Amino acid sequence: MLLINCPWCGPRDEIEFRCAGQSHIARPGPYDRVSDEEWARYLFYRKNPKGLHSERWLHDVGCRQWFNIARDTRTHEIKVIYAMTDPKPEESTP
Amino acid sequence: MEIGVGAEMETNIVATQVTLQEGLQARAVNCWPSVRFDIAAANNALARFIPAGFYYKTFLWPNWRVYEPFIRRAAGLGRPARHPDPNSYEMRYAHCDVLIVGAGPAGLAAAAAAASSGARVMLVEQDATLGGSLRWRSGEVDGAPGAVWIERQRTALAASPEVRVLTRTAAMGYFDHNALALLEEVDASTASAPRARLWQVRAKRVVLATGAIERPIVFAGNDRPGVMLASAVAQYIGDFGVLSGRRAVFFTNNDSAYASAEAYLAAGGAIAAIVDSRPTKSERGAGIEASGVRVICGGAVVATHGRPALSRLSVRKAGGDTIEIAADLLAISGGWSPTLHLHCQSGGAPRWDEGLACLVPGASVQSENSVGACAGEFLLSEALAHGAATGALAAHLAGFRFAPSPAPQAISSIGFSIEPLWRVGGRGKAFVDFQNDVTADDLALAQRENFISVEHLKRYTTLGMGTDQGKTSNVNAIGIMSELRQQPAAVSGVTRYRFPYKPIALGALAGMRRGEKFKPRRRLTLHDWHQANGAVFEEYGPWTRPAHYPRAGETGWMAEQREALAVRNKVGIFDGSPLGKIEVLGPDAAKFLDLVYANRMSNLEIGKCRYGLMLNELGVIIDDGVCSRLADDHFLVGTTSAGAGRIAAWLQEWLQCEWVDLEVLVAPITQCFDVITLSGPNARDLLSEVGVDFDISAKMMPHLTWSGGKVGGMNARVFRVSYTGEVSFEINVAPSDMSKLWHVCFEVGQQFGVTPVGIDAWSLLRTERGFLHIGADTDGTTTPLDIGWGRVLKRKTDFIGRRSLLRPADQREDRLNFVGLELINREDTVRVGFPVRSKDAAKATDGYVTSAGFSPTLKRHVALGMLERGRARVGEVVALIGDRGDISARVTEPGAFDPKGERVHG
Amino acid sequence: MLDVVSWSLSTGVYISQSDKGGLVFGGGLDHYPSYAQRGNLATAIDVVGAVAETYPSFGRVRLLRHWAGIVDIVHDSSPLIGETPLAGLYMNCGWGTGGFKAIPAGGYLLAHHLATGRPHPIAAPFHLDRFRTGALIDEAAGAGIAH
Repeated sequence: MLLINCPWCGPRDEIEFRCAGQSHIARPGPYDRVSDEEWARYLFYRKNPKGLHSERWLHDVGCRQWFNIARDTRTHEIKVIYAMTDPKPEESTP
Repeated sequence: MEIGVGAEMETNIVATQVTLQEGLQARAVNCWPSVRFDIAAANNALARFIPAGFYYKTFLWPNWRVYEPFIRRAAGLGRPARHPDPNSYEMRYAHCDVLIVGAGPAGLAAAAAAASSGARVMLVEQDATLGGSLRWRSGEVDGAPGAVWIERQRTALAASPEVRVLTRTAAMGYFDHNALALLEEVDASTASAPRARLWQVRAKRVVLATGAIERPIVFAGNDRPGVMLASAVAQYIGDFGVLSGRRAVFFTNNDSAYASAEAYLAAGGAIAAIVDSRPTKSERGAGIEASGVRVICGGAVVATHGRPALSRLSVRKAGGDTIEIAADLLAISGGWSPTLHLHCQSGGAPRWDEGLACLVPGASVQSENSVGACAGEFLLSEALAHGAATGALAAHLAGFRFAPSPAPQAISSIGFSIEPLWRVGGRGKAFVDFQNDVTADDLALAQRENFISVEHLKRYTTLGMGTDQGKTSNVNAIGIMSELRQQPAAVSGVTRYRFPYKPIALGALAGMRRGEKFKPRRRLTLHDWHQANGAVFEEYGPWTRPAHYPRAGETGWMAEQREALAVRNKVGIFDGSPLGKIEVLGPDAAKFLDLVYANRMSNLEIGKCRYGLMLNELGVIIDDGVCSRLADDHFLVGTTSAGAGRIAAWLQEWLQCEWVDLEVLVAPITQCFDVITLSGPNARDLLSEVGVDFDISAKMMPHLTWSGGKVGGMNARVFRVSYTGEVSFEINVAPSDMSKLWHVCFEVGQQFGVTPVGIDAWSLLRTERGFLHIGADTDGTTTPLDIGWGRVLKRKTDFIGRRSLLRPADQREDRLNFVGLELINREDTVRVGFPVRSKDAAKATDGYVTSAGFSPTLKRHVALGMLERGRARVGEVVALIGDRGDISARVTEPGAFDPKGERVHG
Repeated sequence: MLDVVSWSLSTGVYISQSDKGGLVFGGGLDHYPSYAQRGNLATAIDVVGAVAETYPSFGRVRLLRHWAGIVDIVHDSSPLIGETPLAGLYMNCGWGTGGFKAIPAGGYLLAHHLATGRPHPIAAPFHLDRFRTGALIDEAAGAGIAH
């Protein structure tokens, strides 16, 4: 029951959004120079931190825009909301 | 207790919480055949044979099944209704600055203070009236009796425009970011009213004033009728004018029971004795003794006697002597447990308070504060002062001016003191959890067997798992376990409190999402026409669409066969409106589509169409459809009906999250166009007769091209694509023109033998022709290589999923391939799901049938399937495992009808 | 009331009745990682709504409590059974919400592996290495659950 402050629409209830998991995953390439291990890592290996997590969210039934959220997985506190193209915020030890 | 009858029956209701109404029907539960002769009471005689954990131990031998029926008969708490719930439920959403839970003295003081700042305040109270314990406890506030002060507060709050007061409303859950769920039980006097309303509230600040619950004392015989909580005795007197028993003994370890005793005396009851487990006489004890009541300090009730209810009890005095006292009421008080549920649900970790011998709220994690008894403030003056101060602070923190007002003044009673008495030793059952029949001995057994963590204790003994979820038992259990383990209660820990605070009807959570509103269906623009023309509808994803149009005397299958033949021989008209349509526009549109399709689209000429496959990054086919080039920088991406929304979101995701530099606009336009598909040898003649202002001849508009213009005078885009293998025209028109154009086509089409075609025949035509149906022939592992599209790997550039197709498992030759299956015996029948028998005895199957049906054109069953190494086995005869024996089938390329695909060019 | 485990493919909700009488049901996930063990009202409404819709006579039955915790979900919705890169460490996890139904078989299969040193033929495809080789076992459609 998060309250998410969409950069375009303002605070809205969690049910309007969709989370696609960890953000800042670089797509490896070119395809013919990527090893099976590297490709598997890209497809399947995800962080599962107990603490700050940077993840992609879509305002699905709103503006349909994607953005990043840095959220604490223990408390669900949303620390930062930032654009898809912004770098990952500095991690301060919570 | 069980109330109501038939579909409105409800079970497990606490009798004291039911508002009496004319005609109310109520029955006791769990004491068959009656309270006076409860067969289960016979279990008392067997007590020592049914210890804690017995479910897990005793009944494993010889076999759980032997005991199951008996346990089931003895178990449970009443019966549920057997009919659909006839009542309705509502859901409401609200926002406020300050939400105050609980309208006792602390909550009322907080509400008044918060409201005076102008903040939007919600005050919710689970009882039908405001005031909480002040209703029935003696005490004056601001010089007025409690009831008068409550009424003053009620009037003032009702006059404040920004205040909403909800009674009979319990806060059930405290979720993330200050979202709370409230359940309002609606007065049943109006027939049209919903039975309950679930409120979802987002509050800037929350003030918890949820009070405290008195604890019983654990001693032998504490479950005998006639044993009550001391506060309940006082509440019966104050709230309802009911005097419980006539001659009472009070048994306490703290001061609060004296106020209840005084109320009992004032109401005309006689007190045989007050047994106070504390060795030293308290100030309150001395006070009541002066009025002639016997006070036994350092004593304890060790046994109760009487059938069916209490008639006398045994008290062990400080010196060890035991005396018997006649009484028909034993009022007990083991101290108070703050109602911490919401604080804990909000993320707070309660801490143990040695002085108060209970858990109190820990640090706030969300924007909430606890006040009054739920914060361990058991004195009225304390609760009022803290309530008022916190109410003002909450409004201020929510953005309003800080307006502290003088706190309501109460004549302070003497302080609260308590000395823990977790259990009284003695023979017989001393209940800790009255609902789940967990006794002090059960806890001792659990401790001996090392089930010492509170979570293990709970599951082993089922303590706290009854309908009250441990509200009366948890703290006593913590105390007893700490005593047994000789450690401070503070380290024993607590089990987690979760939503809901008290039992909540499933219907109340479901709200209005029942029946048709559970999953709302989407209807076609022409739904009424289809219905009027005899369509039988079925559900396809969110859409309700015609499956077939049976004529008089026809079964669904007969209709399907007739409709399919009409397409092969004359012309069919099909409502394809849900087909996904996405416009992709911009200078990088072609480049983008080369990335999202497994096959190339950038070399598609303007005016032409091309079938394409989309993969996910695992290389798995997720959708297919026809892509048309409208202009150099403008494409129309066609998707399956099921993929319409999903693929539009998929394209957006890649553009916004990965290829952010591409200049591309994605516009889902599925709903902007309805689709009439004309398919069959007469399709072109029919369309000409309807009237088109562009050339639709086979030469000028061959298969896989499109044109825009007027059709029957209406703007349309017409695509020559085919799902059936016949010459087809997909006419896209605005939904506002749909009805008109469809009628024209249908009327003009009569001379060409036009027939409305449903999904059944449409799918059958597709199966005959051997076209792939994503999700039917494919599953979550099917790649383009599996369906004979190995050529995509010849492309020079990357596309979504490409790298995955190079992995060892994707390159294996023993993968399942998409094939046709031609039955050797024309009489055989085949159905979807029939497995292919493997020649390798160790293996179950080599594949299975994915599409099948009876072809009215070929007059035999046709089938498609996924077969291991299938493409290399074309020509081989395999055995399908049918429901009446094996069926021989020859492996072919997909497509039993017109395998070379010549008809579509006609 | 119910002497079977029922499970709806269209809602992904399962329900059974315990021998003590309580109805136990579940389904639904928060689609973001969490260690809060808190539960989510929107999910509860979805799951309970599905139960009330499937069994209209349960509308007046009341929810006593709910569980919230971590669900071990694997990308292809199938469990991980077998050896790990660490010698002597075996895994039998990733059952998602299906474990309570299937774990007797899962336990048997892993025991076979431990006893014989070789994976049971049924369990062999569930090796962790499938994420490198691409030999996924997609049960998403079979499970009828969105994970």
